[in-house]
Amino acid sequence: MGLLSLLRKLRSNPDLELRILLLGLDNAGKTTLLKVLASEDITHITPTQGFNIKSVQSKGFKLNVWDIGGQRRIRPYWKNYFENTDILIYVIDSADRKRFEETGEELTELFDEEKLAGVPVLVFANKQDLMNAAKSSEIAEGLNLNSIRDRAWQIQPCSAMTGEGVKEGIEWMTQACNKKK
Amino acid sequence: MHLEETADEPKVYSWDKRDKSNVEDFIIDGKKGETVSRLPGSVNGEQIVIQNCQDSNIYIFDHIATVSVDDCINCNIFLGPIKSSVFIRDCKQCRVAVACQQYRTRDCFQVDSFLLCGTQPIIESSSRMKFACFSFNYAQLEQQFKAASLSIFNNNWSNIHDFTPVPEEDVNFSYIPPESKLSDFIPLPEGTEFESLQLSSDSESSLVPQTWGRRRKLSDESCLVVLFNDGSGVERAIRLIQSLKAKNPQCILVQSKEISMQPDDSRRVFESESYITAVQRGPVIGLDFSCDGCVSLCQAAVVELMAGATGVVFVSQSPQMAEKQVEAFFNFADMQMGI
Repeated sequence: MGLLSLLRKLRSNPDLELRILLLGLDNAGKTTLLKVLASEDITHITPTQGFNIKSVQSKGFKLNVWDIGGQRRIRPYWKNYFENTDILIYVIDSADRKRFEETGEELTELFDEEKLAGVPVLVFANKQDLMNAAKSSEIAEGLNLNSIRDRAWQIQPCSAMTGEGVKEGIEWMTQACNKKK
Repeated sequence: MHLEETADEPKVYSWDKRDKSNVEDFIIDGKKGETVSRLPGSVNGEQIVIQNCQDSNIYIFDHIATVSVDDCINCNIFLGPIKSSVFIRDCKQCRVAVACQQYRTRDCFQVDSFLLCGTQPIIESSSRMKFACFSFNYAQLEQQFKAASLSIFNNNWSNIHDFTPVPEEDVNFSYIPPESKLSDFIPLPEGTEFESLQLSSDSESSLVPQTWGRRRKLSDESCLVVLFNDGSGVERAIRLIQSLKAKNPQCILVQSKEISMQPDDSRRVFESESYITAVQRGPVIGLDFSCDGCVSLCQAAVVELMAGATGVVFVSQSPQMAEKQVEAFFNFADMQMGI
């Protein structure tokens, strides 16, 4: 189930061109998600040192997905990719309880970014297939998402590895974009 | 009306229906001076969390989804094949043996790793890190590698990427000398429950071929050998490595890769039309040997290996061509794997 086939099925705006920014801490599963969206093989994924871009184009759709490495050392470079973002996808490793606070702090900083003001945010509570994963409701509470008033947001449990839950997130994303445009 | 009602019901996912009552079995927390182990079948591809342990021996003899090792001091840790990543954080003075797809560390000090890693290992804000090739075996290990989708030939243990390099000469990582033994770092566990596993950590019986990696080579001569997927490629590759090692101890295996090739890749890498059919049968195994005279040693060993058998094996024809072929094959493999 790739991003394109899904959009076609939803019969969204035929001239839709979206710039999608994928952020999150290192080891959250951003590149795996990127590859799932592009219907690519996910058996061999290397830690991202810079960034990956996937552009998919077909029948009036153009989607540019930017996946930026999440190591602490390279997070200052995230801001170079903010411009003209239509949707921010923020990926969280739901089983990495040690870093819930750290990922929350990074997300809060993103909310304060002028260039991302009003940009809809889809939070993927990824790795739900793992034994130690926290529920998405628990994560939403920890991140205080309910207090967001200045943009559309959604938290979606998923497993990029098995693909479960990804479709629902993308459906929300396209609806959020159609409303915005 | 009815449709709208069902759409409003919260969707039930597979994880909502899952029994997590035994989650504690997968968390190893706060051990002090203890030995903890998990036997084959007990983890069965689930996640493992290791945290806040000190002076302990931890052995996971099973395949695992992913592992985090946090805030441990002076521990010996063996981790069976990991399908995705191992993430080691805030640990110091630990010794780890692990086979994984991704290896990541942050805020670590003095962690020695005996590693098989399918992608490029990365370290961040970590210092005095040491690396060597994974050497271990037990009865169920080969099957567990398959369950974790790891190839014993895809090992990038020495190709470390440091996110926070220091400008001084003293780099954050170095390699453990090749003559060092894993057993000097991580002792095998004792007890009758381990007898049926037939545990061994010596390099000779390791399931994973011992590679020299990026340590300084002792000879400028290399030789590329490629075995094709004719049903006995893996077994032949292992036999070739063993027989070369037995007869010529100075001959080292520098690196190995198991990878799929298209006909065009085959033309480019081998500069020949001869392997187009062979590459289409499945992933090939490429081996990079090095020692003085290794091209003729490899040619002789392959002739012996293939005596009375059918099938095709690629071996470099001369030292001059070998240099180029090794580079072409392994550059191709690294590009293909995104390294």
